[in-house]
Amino acid sequence: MSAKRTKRVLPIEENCMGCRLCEVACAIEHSEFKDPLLTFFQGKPQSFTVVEVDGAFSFSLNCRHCDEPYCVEACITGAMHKEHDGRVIVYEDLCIGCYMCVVSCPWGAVNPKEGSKKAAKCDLCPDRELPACVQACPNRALVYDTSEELIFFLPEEEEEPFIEG
Amino acid sequence: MAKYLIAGNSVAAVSAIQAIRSIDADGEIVVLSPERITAYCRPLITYILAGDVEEWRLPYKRESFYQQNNVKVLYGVALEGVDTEKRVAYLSDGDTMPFEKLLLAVGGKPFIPPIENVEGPDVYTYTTVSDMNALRERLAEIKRVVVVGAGMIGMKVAEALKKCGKEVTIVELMDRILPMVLDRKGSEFAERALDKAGVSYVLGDSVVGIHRDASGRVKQVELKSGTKIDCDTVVVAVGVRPNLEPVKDSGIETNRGIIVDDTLETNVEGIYAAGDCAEAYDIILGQKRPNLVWPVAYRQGFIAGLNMAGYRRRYVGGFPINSIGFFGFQVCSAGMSAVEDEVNGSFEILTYVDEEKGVYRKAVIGNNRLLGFAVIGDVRRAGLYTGLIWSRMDVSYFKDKLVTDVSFPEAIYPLEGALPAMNFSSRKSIRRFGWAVFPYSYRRLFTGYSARIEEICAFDEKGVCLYGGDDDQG
Ligand SMILES: Cc1cc2nc3c(=O)[nH]c(=O)nc-3n(C[C@H](O)[C@H](O)[C@H](O)COP(=O)(O)OP(=O)(O)OC[C@H]3O[C@@H](n4cnc5c(N)ncnc54)[C@H](O)[C@@H]3O)c2cc1C
Ligand code: SF4
Ligand code: SF4
Repeated sequence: MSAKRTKRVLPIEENCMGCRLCEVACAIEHSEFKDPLLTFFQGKPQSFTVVEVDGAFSFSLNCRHCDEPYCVEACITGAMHKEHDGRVIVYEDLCIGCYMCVVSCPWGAVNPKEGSKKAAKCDLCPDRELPACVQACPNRALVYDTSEELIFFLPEEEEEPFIEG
Repeated sequence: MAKYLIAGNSVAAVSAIQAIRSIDADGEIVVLSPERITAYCRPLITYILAGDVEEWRLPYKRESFYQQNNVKVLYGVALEGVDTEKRVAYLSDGDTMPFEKLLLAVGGKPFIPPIENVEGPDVYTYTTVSDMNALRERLAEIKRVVVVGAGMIGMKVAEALKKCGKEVTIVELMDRILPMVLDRKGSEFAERALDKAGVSYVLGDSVVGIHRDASGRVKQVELKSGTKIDCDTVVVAVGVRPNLEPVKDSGIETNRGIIVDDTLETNVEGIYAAGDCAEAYDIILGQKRPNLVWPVAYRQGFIAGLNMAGYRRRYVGGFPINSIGFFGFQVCSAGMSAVEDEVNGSFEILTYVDEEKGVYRKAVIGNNRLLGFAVIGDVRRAGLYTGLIWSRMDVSYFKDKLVTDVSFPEAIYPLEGALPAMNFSSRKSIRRFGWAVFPYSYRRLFTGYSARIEEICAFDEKGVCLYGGDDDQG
């Protein structure tokens, strides 16, 4: 049922400075030019990852490549698809731009494609070894890994029993 | 004897097949498909009529899907009745079929209101491929169409027919377009798009009769107000109701739909229902009701399939989610988005209007929870609202941003103030409570992906989380 070994881009909110370099890198990688100047002056820059900032606190929010993806359930054409390797990909030639996926993803990670009636979302950069956002992050606030391996590095949580109400 | 008998061959059936096969690799699955076609993308029939989408894209699953999953499909065979005692299904070809587990995924039936002379040629409903083919066959001779009902299907059919060059008039009983989704203000945006496209519409009136000429062909419709509209074709699209015919007098409990519990089982053990025909829990209303939309049908089919195969998984609930666009107008909505006034103060309504850009956002809040929303024009990140409905989290402390901003980190990573009273096991998860959080930390969810928001955020009356943890989820 689930593809547990999928590699995903995971944000580490303590490290994030809110510099938005990941957004820039994503927009360049997914433009037709793959060049910073052309992307922003001639292309239609669109980043799939969005840095959420609230005061001093920030993190880069991107598609979770869910095990039971809301967007895939909602897609009325089958254009939104979960691959065997766990990636959730939209096949643009099947997509009719109904935006059922846009309204269904609780992370707001699928959006209308800039300039055309299609859905657009993170594809984990199939042309690269490391997704562009991860490579661009100067603060190691994004890692690209499988869930299990990452858990291994996480600091232990303080387990204070606490009852409220 | 079929181990799993599935009546219906659409999205709920497909996801049930996938779920069953993820657990039981060889149990025999038999699917009844009265329509002689593999599961198809039902909403595409309006796009194909309009010529926007090629016909080869209609199938949702192809023959290979059934072969790979080792599923036997009986085309042209419908379920006509169920004997719950003997556990046999009566089929339309005269056969009977004993079953171990039965899934009712028989979908919905278009409702036809009492209209004089509605029976006869030139009057159509529009929910199946055969409806599409029937309309397409006559397309060349159609000139003027009256579409009855300005709901989702009505608007999509109107758009398709307009694109085919027909003169279209929409008649709607309520005072607005898409009455289940939009309020008056939202409807104004839709009306503007219709005006621009040259589609006429009559609101607050209904069709009471159809006038036919001597040979029985449609020539006019008559409205309640007395107005008469000339036309040669009528499309009735006032809504779809759960299809209850196959379970009539079978002892399976029905109300508006087939009533199911939180494993999608009916009152009869081993008989399940999912999709448009089912009446399951709605987390916004807090009671059972049919939700006739695609994502709900998919989810219910999936959970029913798991439970049929013996893997217990709870259906937390659903709510209507929709997205529709026509003539350049686009709206995304979920839940109770059409609520017009703040009834006895039990609802709070937030709106944001930007007439210039054609943007309208509306959120309906009750008891500090988001109960519904509609976004028109700019639908970027509309899903964040859906996430807030799933999580039922307190939105009162970032209400000011809710409709003005398309980014609200609070939704994903809320601060301490927003916490409902409930039991927690760790202080850290308190700070990090939100739909992405409980009962694991925020990061735990980002790493333990199997969890669904509605499952980690489901609590019983005492505030105890019902989520059993990742181990419970397979
Ligand atoms: C034109 C149109 C546009 C739509 N657009 C959208 C949209 O944009 N977004 C959205 O969320 N939803 C949309 N919907 C609704 C969506 O299509 C349905 O919610 C969804 O198809 C429900 O799936 P289902 O599996 O429950 O049943 P259905 O798709 O209704 O299928 C029912 C199945 O049961 C079979 N059946 C019927 N009677 C019997 C019987 N007696 N025995 C055995 N089998 C039987 C039928 O042949 C069919 O295979 C649209 C619907 C239509 C008609
Ligand atoms: S787009 Fe949203 S629902 Fe789909 S896989 Fe990504 S996070 Fe999950
Ligand atoms: S917009 Fe495209 S990918 Fe999204 S639900 Fe519609 S068809 Fe599927």
